[in-house]
Amino acid sequence: MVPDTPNPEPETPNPPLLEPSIFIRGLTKRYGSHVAVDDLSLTVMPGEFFGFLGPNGAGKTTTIRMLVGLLRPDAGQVVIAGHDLASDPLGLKGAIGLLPDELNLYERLTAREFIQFAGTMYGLPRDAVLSRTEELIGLMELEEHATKMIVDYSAGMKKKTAMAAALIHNPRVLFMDEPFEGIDAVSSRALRHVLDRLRERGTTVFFSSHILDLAERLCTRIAIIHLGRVQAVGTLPDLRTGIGLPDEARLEDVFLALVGAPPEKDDLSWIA
Amino acid sequence: MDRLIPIVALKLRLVFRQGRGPWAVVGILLMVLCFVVPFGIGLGAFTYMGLEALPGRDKGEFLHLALMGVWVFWLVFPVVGFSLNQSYDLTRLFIYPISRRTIFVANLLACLLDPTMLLVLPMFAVILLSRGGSLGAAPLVFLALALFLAQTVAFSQAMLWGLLNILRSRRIRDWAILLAPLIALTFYLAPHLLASGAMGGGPDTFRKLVAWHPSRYLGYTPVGMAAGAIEAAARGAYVEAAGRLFGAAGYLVLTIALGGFILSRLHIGEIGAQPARKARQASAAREPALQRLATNPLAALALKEARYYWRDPRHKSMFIAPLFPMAVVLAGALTTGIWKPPAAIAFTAFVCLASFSALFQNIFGVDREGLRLLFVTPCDREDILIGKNIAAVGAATLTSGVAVLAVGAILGDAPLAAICAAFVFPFALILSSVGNIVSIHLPQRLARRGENPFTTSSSVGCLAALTRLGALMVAWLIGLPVFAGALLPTVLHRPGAYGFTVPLAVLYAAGVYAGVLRFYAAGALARNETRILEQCLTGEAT
Repeated sequence: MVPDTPNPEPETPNPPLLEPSIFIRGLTKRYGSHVAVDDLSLTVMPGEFFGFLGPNGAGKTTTIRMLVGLLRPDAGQVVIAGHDLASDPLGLKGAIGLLPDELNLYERLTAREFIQFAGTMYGLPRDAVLSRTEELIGLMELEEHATKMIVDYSAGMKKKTAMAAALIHNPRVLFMDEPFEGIDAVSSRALRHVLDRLRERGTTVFFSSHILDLAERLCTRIAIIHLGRVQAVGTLPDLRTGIGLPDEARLEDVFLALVGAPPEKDDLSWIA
Repeated sequence: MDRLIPIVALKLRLVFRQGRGPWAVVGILLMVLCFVVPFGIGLGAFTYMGLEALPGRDKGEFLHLALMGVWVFWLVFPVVGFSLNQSYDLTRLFIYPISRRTIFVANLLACLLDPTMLLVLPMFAVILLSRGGSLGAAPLVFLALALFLAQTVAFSQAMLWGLLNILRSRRIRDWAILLAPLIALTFYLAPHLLASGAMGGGPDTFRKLVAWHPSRYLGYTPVGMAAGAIEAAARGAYVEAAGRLFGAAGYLVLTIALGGFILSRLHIGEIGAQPARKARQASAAREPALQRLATNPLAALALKEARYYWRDPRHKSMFIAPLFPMAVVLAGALTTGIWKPPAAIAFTAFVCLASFSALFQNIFGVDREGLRLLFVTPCDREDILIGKNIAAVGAATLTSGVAVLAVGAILGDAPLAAICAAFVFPFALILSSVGNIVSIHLPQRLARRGENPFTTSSSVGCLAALTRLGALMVAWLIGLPVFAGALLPTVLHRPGAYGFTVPLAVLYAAGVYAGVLRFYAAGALARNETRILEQCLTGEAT
């Protein structure tokens, strides 16, 4: 699964093999007779901005929860940043950051208290916790509200607070489930800027979203999941070529073709 | 009419669906049967005793007092209940094409059919039978009571709508959650004290109550109009009664007009819109001293838990819990002498600690959505348990200790209370040890706002509740050596032995705690955290 790196100079030592940031094989989750995630396999390399797209109920959130150790898989292997989920779950958790779809906030803490708490729980030294918290509060434009309890925040402010907590320990892999939902344009731009910088520094971003325009702009590679199975993986041109769409086809066209857009339904009888 | 009935039905349905699951309706019915009906009957009995005990003119004064109590209660109750019951928020109906008049009338009708009306019906029946004994007086008394009730309900609703802006704020909602159990406490205490006062003091009690002549101050208020009309009708002064009824009807018309006006302002958004609050300027320099202490995961967790206990009203109500056993034993000890100091002190300690067992047995439920962060961090799982236990044991020890000392001081047996308080910590530690195992294997989703913070969701079921009760009993069995340490020196008349038994009890409890944690709980947590998460967040295990 790890791609071989060509060796241009036989005389010089081999460059180290690039280990995947995320390695998933045969991941499966069943709820009774319903298979939510079905034998899913993926490999994501360091520094990739990996889009994990699919319609509602496709299994995106279930997959992410299994990858970060918040849901027990029924089968399969997960290795993230060199840590096997089954044998080294705490090592894996130390290497990742998570922005879940339903935010993981302690709503009766202030943003500052929450971010500091997260930093401490990730084992950062106190000085780093304090200085990074202030930087993150500034970056997320939460200064004016940092002493208010999170329960009083707007949806966008809550998301930014959760994002700050996910970034404080400089994770090697960042999982984000619908990160841009409910965030205004200004905050969204700031967040994209942070994500770009993280990617430049080698952080892998694994990102699920319904906003296909944004995924098209941000993602270096995309997987489209439907009914718990990966339908296609690759760059946007790869995906277009794979299903025979023209070069000008947008991600939305690729997505609809892969998940099988339902036939046009009849109009509602009373809205003729 | 086609919209009136569905709105009334909706409001009543919401009253009975404040909890989750099929048992919620049973819970509400039980509450009505156990608290509302007895309290209503108690009020009726008290009114009957007052009207029987007092001579001629004083009966009218007493009526003023009784009706004023009803009026004030109806003003306060919906305001406190607003945060707990969405049926009070009628602005949700504004998106539908329903006239304001329909909303207004439906709301009043629903209030009159609300179970809380059972509180006043016995009292009104007593007044009707006692003061409307003659053929001429009966219809006038009935009319006076009906006008009074309609005015009271309409005024309380008008006030509620006028205060919507304030009532919707998070701070007020938080306070309401704390006030609700205190009001429930008065449901227990008020009839108890009133009955014991009336029984013990006889007519003197009632004479003292009306000594300030309430009619002087309330005569021209809605309360005074209704009470005056009833009293005049009872005396046979029908013209005066009719005049006062006219006044009561005038108040009702004015109140309805006021309610209609407030409703019209609400409808166009001039009341109820929440103004943005100015945020306090944040400053890193104002870092709380406590935060500086939280330099490792264990301290950070304990601090986070403590903050949650204090800031979340559903957890803060834990600190009010000791008031209930205290009220029971103090009311019994000070009025009838049924509780002797040793029993009162021991009962207070037992009930306080038992009430905290709900927290000990569900330490992950407190975290709610935050549990995802906790379990996605690489923090040592043993530290997670210890950090949470430090806060829980600390809260239980402090609260129960203070309650025990307070009861001891009030009943004049402070030394016994001090000894009892010294054994609270080791008992709390043992409860926490057993609670850790229950928290891991029977995690529980905490009820949402407005529900009892530590009640089980319907999916957990009866078996889980019995298991928790069994676990509590096991904890008390494990705590028998601590109990022996508390009891034996007194039984053997060797108080000096407490110098040994207290530290021995602490050592024993610490040993139990460390053993359970090291040899079982930490590992079990690591193995079960995904299941705990699902159970605590969705109420369903995968």
